[in-house]
Amino acid sequence: MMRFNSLKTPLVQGINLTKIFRYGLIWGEPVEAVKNVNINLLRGASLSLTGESGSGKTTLGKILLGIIRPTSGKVLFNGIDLTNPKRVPKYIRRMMSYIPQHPEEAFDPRWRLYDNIAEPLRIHKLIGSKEEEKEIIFKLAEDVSLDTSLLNRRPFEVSGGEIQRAVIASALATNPLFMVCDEPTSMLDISTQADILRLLKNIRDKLNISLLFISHDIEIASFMGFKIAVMLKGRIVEMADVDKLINEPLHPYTQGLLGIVKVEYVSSYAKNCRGCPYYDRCPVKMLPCREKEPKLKNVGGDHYVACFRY
Amino acid sequence: MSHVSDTSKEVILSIRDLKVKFYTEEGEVTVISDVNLDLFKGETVALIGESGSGKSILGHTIIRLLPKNANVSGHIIYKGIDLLKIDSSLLRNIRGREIAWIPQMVGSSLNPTVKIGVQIGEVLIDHYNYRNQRAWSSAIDLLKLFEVEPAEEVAKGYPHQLSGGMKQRVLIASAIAARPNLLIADEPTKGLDTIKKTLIVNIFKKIKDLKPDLSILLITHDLKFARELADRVIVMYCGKVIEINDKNSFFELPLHPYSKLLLKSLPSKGLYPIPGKPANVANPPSGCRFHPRCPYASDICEKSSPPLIKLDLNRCVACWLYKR
Amino acid sequence: MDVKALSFLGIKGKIGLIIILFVVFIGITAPVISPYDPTSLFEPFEPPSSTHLLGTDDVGHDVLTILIYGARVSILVGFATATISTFIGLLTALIAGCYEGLDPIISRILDFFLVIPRIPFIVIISAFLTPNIFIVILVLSFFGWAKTARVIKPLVKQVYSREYVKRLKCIGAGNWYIILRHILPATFPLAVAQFVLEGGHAILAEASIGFFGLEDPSTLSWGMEINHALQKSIIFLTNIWTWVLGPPILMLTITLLSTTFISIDLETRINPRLKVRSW
Repeated sequence: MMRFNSLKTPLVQGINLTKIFRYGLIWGEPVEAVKNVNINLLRGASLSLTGESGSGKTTLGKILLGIIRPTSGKVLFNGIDLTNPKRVPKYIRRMMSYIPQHPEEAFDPRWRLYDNIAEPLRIHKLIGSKEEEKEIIFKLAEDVSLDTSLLNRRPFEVSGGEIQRAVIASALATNPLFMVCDEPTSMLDISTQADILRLLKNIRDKLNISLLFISHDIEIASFMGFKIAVMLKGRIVEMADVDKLINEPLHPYTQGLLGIVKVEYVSSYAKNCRGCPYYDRCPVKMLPCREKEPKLKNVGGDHYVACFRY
Repeated sequence: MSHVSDTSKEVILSIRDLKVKFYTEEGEVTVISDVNLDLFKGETVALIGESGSGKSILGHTIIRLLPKNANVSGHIIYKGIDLLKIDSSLLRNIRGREIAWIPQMVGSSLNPTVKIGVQIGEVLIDHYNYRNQRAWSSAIDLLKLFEVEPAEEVAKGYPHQLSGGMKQRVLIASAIAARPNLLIADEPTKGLDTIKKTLIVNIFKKIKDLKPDLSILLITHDLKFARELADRVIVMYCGKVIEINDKNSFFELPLHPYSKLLLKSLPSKGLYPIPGKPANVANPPSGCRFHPRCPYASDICEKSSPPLIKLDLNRCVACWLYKR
Repeated sequence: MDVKALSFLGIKGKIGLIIILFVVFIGITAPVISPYDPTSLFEPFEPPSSTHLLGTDDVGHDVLTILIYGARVSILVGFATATISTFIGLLTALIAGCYEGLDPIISRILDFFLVIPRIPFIVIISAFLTPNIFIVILVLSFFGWAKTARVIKPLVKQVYSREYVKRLKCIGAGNWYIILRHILPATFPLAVAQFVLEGGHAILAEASIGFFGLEDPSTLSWGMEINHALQKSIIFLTNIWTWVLGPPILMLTITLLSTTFISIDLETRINPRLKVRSW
């Protein structure tokens, strides 16, 4: 077991992350999915990423997990470089888990829930006998309040909420330190959503897991995180503690997401812009916004915003 | 029989004693039981319910898109015609022209090999014998109305060139191209982010401005969306209609205990989950189907199913608490 | 579930399976059930009678005996070719689908193999060596695997891009673990459908080779029988063709039809079963 640094140093650190996708074979237009993102996550802390779809939230989450290789920049997990997914030591993988958006996509449809939940344990060979495995799985199912009679069913035979519980159980099987939840409830019913979110929150507090929670709904994001980062076109445009961001949002885009200012939907905007990423929609744009991109800067009390007005 | 009937408004669609059964490998499952509803001309009704409540199936039943293993009984009367009894040629005249349907799966609902403009205009050629030229220009007008710009370019393009939000708007455009009297939208906001939802709300408002006497049935589980658009709210739970209410009174003072708890589970109301598990239509609980999860449940709830009780002109609820 | 998919054959598939099993049965038990030795000769062109149930052909072979021994050849060619080409094709599809970097190269190789017509190629080969049955099998598999790979590759890619595969990678599962435990089982039903289809194609190809008279003359196959019959134009002047030409063509048609039935039935069943149904 590796030793952990003190609580003050971040568990997960993303330094200057940039990811450029190219669609098409040779002449593909490059698209900046993530651009110059610096992100820190302390042990046991939780951060929510929010922003509209296509803002690069999911890509950033996957880079931090070391599933996608960033074009430039570095990801450090407790000091170990995750930048090249192929070189990540296997024992590191045990300490992180991923909960995808579509619960029905998260499991192999041919496997019973039981085997799907047990899979991380089997991959890492953490259990000795079948009995021990069964005991652990039943305990996990109980932790996420999943009916144990459902364990013998296959994913398409149970409801979305039930699979999502099983996915969480599977994610907890290896006692991870870092968990990325990619919109885990956007496909669920409202009452089930409340249930799952509360479950995730309880688990986070009980097991002291660092949680990166991705959601396009800023209300849900604020429920789950200590801090919120608002993303737009691959950049973080505002980051602050939940209360601060909800009560005094500074960036016009955040104000738009919160419904204070009307945001208009632009279906086809320039993918890679020179100036501020919000320029073409901003109600309070100024002259320099078009030419220069504002940097993310601290405006006091750990409140970061990328806008020329501050 | 208790259902909403208001003589001042014209009824466009009325559903009577509707029952839908599915024959599956495990046996017969009644997914919708005893539904009685009226839709009025020019109103927007939100049909709310969780997955498995039968709300989508109700929509599919109205437009008769159910799979073969479904057995439907009852009446769905549209302009004096029972939609469940007519033959397929008459049904074709009603579909698209009178009743339009916006499907749930945005990605797979457009033909990838046909130009966008043709997909919007074909319903006009089919139902109104438009010339190709005229259908094409109406398609472009619709695209312009929904701000799918540049409209001429988009109309010449194919679905894969569009973003998800544009596809959604194209689907809505093709549904209302033939100027139907009733529009049924199945989960138009599922999985969309806040900004795209606002866009869809605006589009529905525009449609309403375009044709004020259009009735819209929104099948949704998004309460925020329903609040923006609906005039009335119908709540379904486990295959039954349990509440019919005005929008304002529903969001301020919901009648059924389920509705009360459902509103509390919204993010803005503190995300309090409803205790217990959703009832399964394949094996529904006895009596009131909500009683195992209901905090106000009493003996009678367990024994017999409450009828839909009419409280006043616009409010109905199926709960024993209101039977005094 | 994969085994279930097989036992879940519809009426079409069941009919096909019964016919195939019947042909396999007569092929295996040929020495026991055939009325005569395949080499024994009788009067040529004898009409069907109690001694020769299907009559005799131009050289005097008992048609029924040839038919029964021909099933052996067809089944052997079909089975062996299908096994080899499905194995190679599946392996190629898995590698191309799961290793993105290799996909463009493998796709070009597949394109190359797909455009080569196999029957003319065998004609060229037979100019140099007498193709005995094993060479036929090798040549047919050599050109058959590319089609299997082409059909299975998109499915592999689709499954490989599913969220659960990403989740597994994040957990720390290796690529080959994912391929063997998750992707191979997912492609299994389609591979079986391809196997059956490829078997049918091989049987037809082998019959065509025999029909052109390019096979080893001592081979007793349906194609050769048709070839022999057609060389004597006299058979069309009388009703001889009904027992010399009819039975092998009928057998060939039935066998091909049954493989097609099975594979169509399997394919229609694979896709909906993988989908999650939601209202």
